[in-house]
Amino acid sequence: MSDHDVLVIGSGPSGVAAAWPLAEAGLSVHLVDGVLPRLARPAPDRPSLSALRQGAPGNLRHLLGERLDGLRDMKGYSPKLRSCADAAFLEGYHDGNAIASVDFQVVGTMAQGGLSNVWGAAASLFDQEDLADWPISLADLLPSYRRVVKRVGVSGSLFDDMAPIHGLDVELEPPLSLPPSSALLLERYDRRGGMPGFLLGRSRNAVLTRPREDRGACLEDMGCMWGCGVGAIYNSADDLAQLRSLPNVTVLSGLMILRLRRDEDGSVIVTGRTALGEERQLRARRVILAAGTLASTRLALDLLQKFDVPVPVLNAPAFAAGLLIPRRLGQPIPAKGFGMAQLAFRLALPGEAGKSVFGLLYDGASMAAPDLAAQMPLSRFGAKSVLRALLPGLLLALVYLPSSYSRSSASLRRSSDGIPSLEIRGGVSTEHKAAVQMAVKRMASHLRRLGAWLLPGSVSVFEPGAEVHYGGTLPMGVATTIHGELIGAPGVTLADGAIFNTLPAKHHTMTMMANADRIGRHLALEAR
Amino acid sequence: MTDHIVITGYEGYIGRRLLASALALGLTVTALGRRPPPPATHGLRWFRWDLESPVPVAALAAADGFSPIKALIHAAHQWTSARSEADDENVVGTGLLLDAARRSGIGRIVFCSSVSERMDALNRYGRIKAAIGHLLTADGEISARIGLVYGGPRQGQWGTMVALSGMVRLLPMVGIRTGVQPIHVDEVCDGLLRLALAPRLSRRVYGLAAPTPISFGEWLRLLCRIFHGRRLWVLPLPLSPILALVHMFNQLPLELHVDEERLLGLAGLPTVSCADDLAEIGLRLIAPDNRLWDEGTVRRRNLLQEGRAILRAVCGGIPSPSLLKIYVRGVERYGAGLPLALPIVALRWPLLLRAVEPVRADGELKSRLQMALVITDGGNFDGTSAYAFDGEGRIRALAGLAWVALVETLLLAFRLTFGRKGQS
Repeated sequence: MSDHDVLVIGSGPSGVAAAWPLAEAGLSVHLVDGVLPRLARPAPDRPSLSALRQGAPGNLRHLLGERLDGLRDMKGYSPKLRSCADAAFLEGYHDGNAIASVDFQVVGTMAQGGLSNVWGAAASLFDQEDLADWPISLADLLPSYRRVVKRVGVSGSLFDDMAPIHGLDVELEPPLSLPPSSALLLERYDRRGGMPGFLLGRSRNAVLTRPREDRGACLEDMGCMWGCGVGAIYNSADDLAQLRSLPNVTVLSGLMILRLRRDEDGSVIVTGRTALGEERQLRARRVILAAGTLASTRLALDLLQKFDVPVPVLNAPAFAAGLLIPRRLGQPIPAKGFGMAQLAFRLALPGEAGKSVFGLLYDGASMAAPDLAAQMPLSRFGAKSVLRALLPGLLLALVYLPSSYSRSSASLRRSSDGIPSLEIRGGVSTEHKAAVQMAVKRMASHLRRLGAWLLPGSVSVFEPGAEVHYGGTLPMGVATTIHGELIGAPGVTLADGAIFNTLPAKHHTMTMMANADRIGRHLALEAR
Repeated sequence: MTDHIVITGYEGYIGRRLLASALALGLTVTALGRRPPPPATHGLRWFRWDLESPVPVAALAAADGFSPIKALIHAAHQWTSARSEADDENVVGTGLLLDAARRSGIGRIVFCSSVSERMDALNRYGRIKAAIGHLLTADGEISARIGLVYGGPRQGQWGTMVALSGMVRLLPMVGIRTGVQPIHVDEVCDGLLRLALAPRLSRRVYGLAAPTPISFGEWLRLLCRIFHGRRLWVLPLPLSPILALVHMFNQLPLELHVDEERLLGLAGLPTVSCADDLAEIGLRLIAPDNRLWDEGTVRRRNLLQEGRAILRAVCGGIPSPSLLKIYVRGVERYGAGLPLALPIVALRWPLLLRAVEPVRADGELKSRLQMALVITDGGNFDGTSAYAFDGEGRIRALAGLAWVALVETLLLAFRLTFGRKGQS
């Protein structure tokens, strides 16, 4: 058993964000990460998506992967998990973390870098309104936001209507260029001088537009859904590589954490299992749980021996919808552009005081067209023919509601093998259906005025959890202190989404990282 | 230094794979057997031994470059014996091996037993395994009761079953309702190594077998479908008269000999409950029909034929052999792995498949058509793109949409009436 100042469990965005300030303060940091390696980057010289679809050499190898993992049926999951991740990426997560779910889709990985290997790179910050029910303020988070944004590399605009929603007081890289459909919508929006209750602007993306030493600038080859060959999109596994080059940081791969226990001397003993089934113990004065909301929650509840007591699981219920810009029909398909969300919008929900939805717009040409076809009730040949005609003007909207519409929960259950499992039950509030209907109606109405028409029958409401925006099981000021320390378990700190107090409709990754950075800094200061 | 284990019986069907798996895991291995094992780059040493010989002293002693022995996996079995059961070479030889291992302080011994292990088993094999099981008395001595092992080279019982399933269209057979618990040979190896290396185990006996049995008749039908590409009818035969007949037949001065031992083994096969055992050691089994995908050539030929039809239904034109290969590999890896029972007319005129694609219901046919769509995202068979990258003009695009709407409307009635899920 080895001793460390701090042991960080998890190498996803929150794990590395918490580890950085501790490592910079000179503490000995031991980071335990998953049993799988990070997803391999595609070849940096991979042809653009349009070239691949026009028969560039090796196109099927690039589009389907060496092992043809792109042929998996991943219905109900984000298309990126089919096109970008190999089959092993999601394997073993449920069993390894002893997580079971009913009516809730748990998406997780034991790969180094966690889900940042496949994320959509949406990098908005929370504003004061978003943090209204949190025990910390925007001022507490802002210095961490700045540091994290700088390290991650975020591109976007500080000068459009969405800029205040994404966050203003940070340093950004120049925005990515817009493909024709997005440019057309934004131009029409700007010409109207804004729309009441509806804001449209560029999306904020954790994507480099200027190269760095270890990561290239975005090639704008539309192929982001198949992974980024130059590392322009932030992946915490890249950060981990830098972290481990520090002399006081060690990384242990391949240990599945089973339980945490407090020792009589006040230190924390972490027991894990290797791939060969051997149990191994680590000891540290401070353990930071950043294994992802659900895995961290299971370990924390087990440490507290809190069985059969449901805790809330907040999630941001989401839906997707297809839109068409008729003016773009028959036009050339863009060969250049960022392959994920290019525009973002915020839509107020009238009658729902202060509530709004947050949406991202993707160019259809950058999506995996067969995944869009899979939603159509046509024959596959018919769907393929329709897509051929629609693709130049197709947009896909991903729309998120705040967590006030979620009603999911999790309970720790005893099990015969001595490793308690976390059982999650998904649900939504009674107002959820009406809110989705209202959001669809109002989004369709606003975007129609800008020239984009909602495609009939294209709205698809996600099962809770499928949007992978969840947290809030052990909120700060309630189950943990404002610095994430688990109440009743000194020495154990949570630093991921589990300690969120609410989830607004916006994407929460940057806030999760900033909060982890804030916690890491606090612990570093305390240790000093 | 890596863990060091001893393996006996590495020349057999399971043992050969076990040795390769252990070396691939980076373990160092002492192999005990009659013939030298295939050379390995590192971490392997060999001592001549069989069940009728004492264990060489040096085999279980410390050696340079090898850490102390952590476990012994005993997979050796001598199939023929002229001795009585009490004096059987397997029982005596295993007793000597256990004594030597205990003296050397080896803390874990995993004995490869069988689900048929019972003192009152109908066949000698089951009774011998049970007798050896009684010798495992010390802590850390584990019996692994292995189910019906399949997969890999067609040797031994596995090879016989594959051959038997394709011999005739109508197969008279005893014990077809007996539940068998198949497990792939690689899963057996994985399980044995887990048992050997796990720091703590909660029980003395572990089942390595499919937790849910299938009938032997169903198993033969599955093998026939996969390896011989056709349906098999199995005719149940009563055991007792057949045994009497076999016994009489074997008395005749003929070269052909029917193995009574195997018939008895099948007839008296018990079902072992092993779900908890597998869970404890973290071994997850894959369904046999998924694992056997690479082991049937007729099945593959039928899949190629199906792929040609499915790809043409989605894209028109003639798919290249390389695209067909991708389709087959995709179905094998991520589909049910078996050819769909498509109507012959649909194989000849693939466009008809568009009329039987279900509207809403999911199923294997729909998922294979979707797979074909994913494959053709990279371009049509004639080298053109599936999409109009240069723009085809609004009028042409609208005309295309109108044409699709017309065809799809006409197809809808057929799809609603004849839409099929598609079964292997």
